[in-house]
Amino acid sequence: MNINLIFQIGGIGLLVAILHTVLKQAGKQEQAELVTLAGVVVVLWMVIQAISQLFQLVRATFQLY
Amino acid sequence: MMSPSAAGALLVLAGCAALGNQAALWYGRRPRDLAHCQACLQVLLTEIDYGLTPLDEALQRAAAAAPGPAAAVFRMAGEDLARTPGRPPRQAWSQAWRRAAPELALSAADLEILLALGPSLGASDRHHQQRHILLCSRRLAAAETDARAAAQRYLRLYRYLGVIAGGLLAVLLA
Repeated sequence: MNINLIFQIGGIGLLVAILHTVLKQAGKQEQAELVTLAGVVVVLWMVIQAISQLFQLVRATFQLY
Repeated sequence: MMSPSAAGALLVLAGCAALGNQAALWYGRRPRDLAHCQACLQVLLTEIDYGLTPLDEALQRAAAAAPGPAAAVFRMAGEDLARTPGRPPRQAWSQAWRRAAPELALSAADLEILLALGPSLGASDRHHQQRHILLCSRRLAAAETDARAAAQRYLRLYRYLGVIAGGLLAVLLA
């Protein structure tokens, strides 16, 4: 299991949260929401890739379709 | 010994932080440039109103009132007028500001305020010029107040943005 992925996701989450707070305090509410959304999309993309690798491993192990 | 990936991450972070700092500097320099413009306009007003100094000389004396690129524009305009006596003052004025615009931390609106002064310089009596210079000065003072408020909001924001964006990139590329 690639432990780096967990740290990457954690790091992105932390930095996005800080960025959200900084932008909100500067009065840029919309930009703060956009940054959070972008962070969620990036992390989702990373997770989907990991899930895809899992499915391929399962398929190869059990020789499914 | 630092690993290449750590060194790369550090470089990305430093680069983004520098970019953020560069953007923040513009907000920091704008109130200063506006204050220098006002100082030079004050001296120009005194020279025109009380000293009855010729415009080219008045502009060059006004340039001595403040340091920095904003004051250098007054000097440029004054020297231009001294070099080409038949030239309309508004042309020398607008050309000097347009040439110096990339080096100044002034917004398009600030530049418009200064360019609007050009047509009245050297083209009417001293009372008329005095009123226009005072009007320009007051508009610049209002712009300076806005610029200070904007600097307070955006100076730290862009610095933090630079560092955080650098961190995000470093994490994503790791």
